[in-house]
Amino acid sequence: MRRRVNPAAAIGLLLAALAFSVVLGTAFGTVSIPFGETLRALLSRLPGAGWLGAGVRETTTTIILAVRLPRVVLAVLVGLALGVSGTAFQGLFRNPMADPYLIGVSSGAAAGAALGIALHLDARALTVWVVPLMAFTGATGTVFLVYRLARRGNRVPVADLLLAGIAVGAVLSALVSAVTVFSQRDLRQIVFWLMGGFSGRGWDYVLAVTPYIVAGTAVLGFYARDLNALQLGEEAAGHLGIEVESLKRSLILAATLATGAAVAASGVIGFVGLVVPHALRLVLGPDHRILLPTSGLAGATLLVLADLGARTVVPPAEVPVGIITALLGGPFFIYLLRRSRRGGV
Amino acid sequence: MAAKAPQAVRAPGFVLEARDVSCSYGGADVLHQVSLGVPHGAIIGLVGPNASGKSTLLRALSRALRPRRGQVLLEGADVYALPAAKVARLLAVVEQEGLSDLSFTVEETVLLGRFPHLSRTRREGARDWEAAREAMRQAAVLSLSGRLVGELSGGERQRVSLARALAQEPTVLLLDEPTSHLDPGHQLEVLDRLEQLNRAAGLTIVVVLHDLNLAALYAHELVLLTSGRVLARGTPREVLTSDNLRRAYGPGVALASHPLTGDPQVTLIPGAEAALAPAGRSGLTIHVVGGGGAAAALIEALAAAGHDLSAGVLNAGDSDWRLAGALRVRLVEAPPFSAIPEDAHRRNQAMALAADAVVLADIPFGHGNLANLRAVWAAAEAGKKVILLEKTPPGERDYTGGQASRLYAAIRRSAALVAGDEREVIEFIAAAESGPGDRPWPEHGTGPGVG
Repeated sequence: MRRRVNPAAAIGLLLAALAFSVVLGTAFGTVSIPFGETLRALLSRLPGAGWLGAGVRETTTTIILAVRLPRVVLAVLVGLALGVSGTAFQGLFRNPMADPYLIGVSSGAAAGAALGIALHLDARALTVWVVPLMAFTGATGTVFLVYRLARRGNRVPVADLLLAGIAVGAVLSALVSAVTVFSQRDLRQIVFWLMGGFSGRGWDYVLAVTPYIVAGTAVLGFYARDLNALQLGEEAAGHLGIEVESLKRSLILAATLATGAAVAASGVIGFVGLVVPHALRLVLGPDHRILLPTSGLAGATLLVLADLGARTVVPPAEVPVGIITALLGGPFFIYLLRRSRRGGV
Repeated sequence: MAAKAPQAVRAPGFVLEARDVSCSYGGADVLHQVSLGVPHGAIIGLVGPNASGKSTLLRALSRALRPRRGQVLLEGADVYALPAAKVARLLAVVEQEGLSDLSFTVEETVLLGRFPHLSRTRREGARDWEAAREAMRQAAVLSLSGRLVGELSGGERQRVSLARALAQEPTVLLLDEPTSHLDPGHQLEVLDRLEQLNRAAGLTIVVVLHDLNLAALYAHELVLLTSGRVLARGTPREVLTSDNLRRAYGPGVALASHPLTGDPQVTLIPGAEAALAPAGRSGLTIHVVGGGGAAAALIEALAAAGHDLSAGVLNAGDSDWRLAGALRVRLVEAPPFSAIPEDAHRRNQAMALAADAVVLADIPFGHGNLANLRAVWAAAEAGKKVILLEKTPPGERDYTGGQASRLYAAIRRSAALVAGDEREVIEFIAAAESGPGDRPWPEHGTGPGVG
């Protein structure tokens, strides 16, 4: 008999952790605001709780609500998208090493963004949205291309998806490298974008990505039980009444919209979509009805904390969030790997 | 079992039916126009050697491999047109590979069998848990319910796989070698339970079995496949004849009978293969010229001895042609009951020239098939080793007014060997194979030469 953590307790714990990290993330920064004051400022915006805001300074409220909170909320959304999509991809590919970027979201987004930055399209189009839009288009377009390349008749074997993803990814990485090398003036900006971060993101970003991430993760959650059945193998899942090819299509579409929006808003943040689902599977077992929500919550919490770290490690400079997640995720992953090799998963 | 006649409760027609099903995995067909009707309440065993297409047929029946041609009907409706969920409520499958290293518990895995009965919004209810527990009881895995599937042995996983399928509460159960990882005790246990479900609940079962003895004991009807075609079907007694076994499995599988039930059982004869084909499976390439059934015994014997065969020119539809097709012999064919066309003759001659040896069956010669004799003559002229099977004198088989006899005599003069029956043909070839390397063929009329 395998002992697992009680799922309800895990969800409760993760919700509390997320709430705590959100308050923490808004309290700390270049200027630290006392925890209690932060909490009061946040809660004062809830209906009927306006009296809590009494005594909080106007500038403090502005910093918290207009500068820090949108950035924290965006981190929550991006973490949710990466955690849930990572879980879905690991389930779809039946491989614990899969992550949401596996079939081209990251390389496509990077190529789109790098081109946008290097060609100064934002200045020409007079809108800051050009780079995110190009990243989103690159991400979704690449996945579509990979999917088409892997298609054989009316089937899309996951092994072919993986290989096509690797091939297309290699070509796009070369393109990004070339763009980076030949546009030295923009090198720093491109590298910063590639590493990912939430610096300077306001409510407009939150509004722009919310529909994609909420809809995408909701669809993935809808297919939780199908993902469970898929663990028996594609043919066996078919025998249980699942239209496997259309399931694959829906999962890939939903995950791509969610992660595409996430990447467009915050760059390529690695390791969250890989480590979070993997770790939770070890602790909570393989049921996607539990894994999907917990991975979303844990991914969100992790990213809020990683962003907090990015802002506070070497103030006033900011470290790209991707560096923080890789620094934390890499060793943790090695730990998981050694543990599972020793004790059996 | 209640004393009701099973025939009386059967619905008319078949619960599951394959009609002229041809399947391929992208390349050449591995199943050739196979038809199979499965009546309600039957236990049908699919048997045959490796790569005979039995698993492919099962996959086609289970909606996992869409046939290239033909139809699969489940209760009269095309399964590939039905929604997967509807099929899954009627038909469950136990796959050959079984379960991989899942970190689901046995109970969770079996409960997945309830998937087709659940709506999107409903979680598993009391009814589903009950069905899962019953399925686990039937597959004897109840005691494993809390264990992780990844920690189980191959045999235990096979039983969990069966429990998952039973939890679907299907009308038809398809199984691909469900006992391959089981010890004899568990093999009997699983098959006994399946038979019990068949009798008590009327579960219709189609099962691929490697083990002919188990198949003979449990199946009501057997379908013997070779090379993607049905070689024989009927009761185990009708199908498991020594003739069929030799055709399907070669000479090493012999027939016996069960000491208690009298059902046909097979025993294995070690070395039989080697005795008939000294050089083993890497036998010679032999071209057989026949037609009309005169070469059937010859083709069978040569194929059983492990030689690589080609044959020509055979009229489509005759019994030589049918056998050659079933044995996957490369062949040149002509339309039924017609003279040999020129291009067929040329291909026949090319095959004869490409072979290590050419064997001419004792066919009657008419103007229509004189080209066959010409092909053999060309091979003899080219220095090919030629064996003439001569059960009846060639003069009595000549319906060409002497033309064939003259050609035949010319072939005989060119150092051809003459065999009185199939056994002698095999011996001539065996002698050629086991002879010293520099002298692979007994020289006609010169005696054993010493270099």
